[in-house]
Amino acid sequence: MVSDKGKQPAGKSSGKRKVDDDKTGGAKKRRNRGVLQFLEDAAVASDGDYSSGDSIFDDDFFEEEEYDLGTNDKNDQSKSHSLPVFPKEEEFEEEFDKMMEERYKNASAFLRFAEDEPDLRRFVEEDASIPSIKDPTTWKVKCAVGRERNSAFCLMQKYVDLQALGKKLQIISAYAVEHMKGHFFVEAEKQSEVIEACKGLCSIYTTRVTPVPRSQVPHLLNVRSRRAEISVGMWARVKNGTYKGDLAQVVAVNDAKRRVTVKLIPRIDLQALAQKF
Amino acid sequence: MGSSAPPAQIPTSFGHELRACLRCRLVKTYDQFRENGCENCPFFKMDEDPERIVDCTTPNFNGIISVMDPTRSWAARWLRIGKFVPGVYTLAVSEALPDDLQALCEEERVQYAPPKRV
Ligand SMILES: [Zn+2]
Repeated sequence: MVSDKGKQPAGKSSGKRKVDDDKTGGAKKRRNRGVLQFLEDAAVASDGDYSSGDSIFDDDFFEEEEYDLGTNDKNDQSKSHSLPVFPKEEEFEEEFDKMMEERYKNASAFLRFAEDEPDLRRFVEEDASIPSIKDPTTWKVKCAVGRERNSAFCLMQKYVDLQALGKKLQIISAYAVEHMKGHFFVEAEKQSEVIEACKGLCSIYTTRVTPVPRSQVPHLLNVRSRRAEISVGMWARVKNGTYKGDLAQVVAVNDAKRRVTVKLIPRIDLQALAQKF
Repeated sequence: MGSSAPPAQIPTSFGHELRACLRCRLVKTYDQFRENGCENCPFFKMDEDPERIVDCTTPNFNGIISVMDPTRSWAARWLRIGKFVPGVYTLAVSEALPDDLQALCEEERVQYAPPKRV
């Protein structure tokens, strides 16, 4: 009896709370879709928590469309998922390419105009151009780390050898950039031509040949000679020999001979000296 | 010069003796430059005067590109080597051609573009 009496109001109040909770939960979901749709993922992940009712928003604010939630909710979620959270890369690229082509289709006019200003001309050329649809595709090819340059060399050698036999290697160019380890790039119309060209060359993995988006190709080629950047006063770390691991400072650079002179703190083995005397 | 142009010599080794022509960026070994000069820049006459090789070429370069078909290569055009013979080139050299040799290019009416500054 006593317990029954106690249960009754408790049951009532919990039932009431349930209604409130539903509102809160529904409101939260709505808030995700309507206001914060870009945070869908995070909001969904925290769905389990919403019964706590610790909403920072006034629930009444969302009350109006409370009843539409049931079935529409799923549709809306999937819709908003496919929109901002996972943009399709290819579409993105195409869009971007179109935009750039549109923007720079009159670049040739600039070029002619800027012909007498070498610096300006270079600037325009660099920024204006990306490969067009008519240009060959650039393919990223995987190779063993350290064999990037060699791969490009070998393909040229193969091209020349085949030419001597009256055959033609179908690729247009092959290049290695120093900041890309384990990859080199091939210009060719078709993927099959890349694979065919790389046949028989060791340490090239022809199962990993992927096209590079056109807009990214100029970035690959935009390199500056790094070695010239070593200058007097720079710090260096010794890689081999007695002073391996020691810090050194560059005191002279001979670019032509590719030699630098460095100064080091002499390593004096005091123990060995002490034993000697 | 189209894709039918005979290719330049291909480097016979890939080590430190490689050098790049400061004008056209063709990459060959020192010995190849000494024996045959530069296929794109015969007016430098590197094959006649070995000292010219030191002036006209550099061992400091960044990146390698083998150009099989210069006329169709977008990369070659972008690098401004699209009108040279097929061969192995570098993407970038660090030094500019000495002034007297730049003057020679002008005399010969050939284009020369100094390396991009950072
Ligand atoms: Zn040259």
